Amino acid sequence: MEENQNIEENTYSQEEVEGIVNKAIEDTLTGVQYDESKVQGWINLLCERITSSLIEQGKPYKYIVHCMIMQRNGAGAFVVTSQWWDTVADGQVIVSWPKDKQAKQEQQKNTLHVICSVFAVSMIT
Amino acid sequence: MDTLGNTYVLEPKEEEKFYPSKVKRIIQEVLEDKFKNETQYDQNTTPIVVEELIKKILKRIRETIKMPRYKLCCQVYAGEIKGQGVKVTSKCLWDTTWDNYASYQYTNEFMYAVGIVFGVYYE
Repeated sequence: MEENQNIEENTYSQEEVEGIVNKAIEDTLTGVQYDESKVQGWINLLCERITSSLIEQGKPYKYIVHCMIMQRNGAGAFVVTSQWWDTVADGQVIVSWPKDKQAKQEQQKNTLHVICSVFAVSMIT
Repeated sequence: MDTLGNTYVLEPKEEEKFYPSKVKRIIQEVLEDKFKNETQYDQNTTPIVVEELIKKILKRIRETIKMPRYKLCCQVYAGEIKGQGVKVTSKCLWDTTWDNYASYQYTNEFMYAVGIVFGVYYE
């Protein structure tokens, strides 16, 4: 019984982290238009929010939170990641916001696009 | 049946640490080699090129620099330049003594590419 609990506490949960990231992005960036002067502040706030929520989980992981905020004006962009790590214990979450369905529903003219990636690297072998 | 013993190693050796300058040089070489001056961003071919690039970077780092106790995360962003603003930030929760990152950005008239490698020490 104890062992089962230990396993849950020590492994990384993809859905939870995705939920945290989505929530943080929505809290910080819903309804804002891209503004060159404010973007530095937003991105710092976003990273801090995500990092502190991840720490609260209390799992033995090191985290790398990486955000890219881009103005939307028809240009294309592409993000690729590759890792050299323990495929069982470590994981990553990449969130692209806003998703197209969301934008149509809210009928907002979104002027920015966020791509946020979180890498969780295990500290115990 | 394999038995693994303790290695009693608590920190990386001098030569085996993550040196950002070395890694940056590798990223620079690979990016500049691929995107020579006049490359344009193409919706169809660039994603494939970038995927190849990232495998190359990781492979090169593994082969040239000896860092056996480091886990590596590599990210490459590529995009078209059309007068838009872009901001990239990362925040890390790790051991600042041994963990580090290296990044290099390449730009030409039509496109930009940013390569970032994070190195995390594990025992």
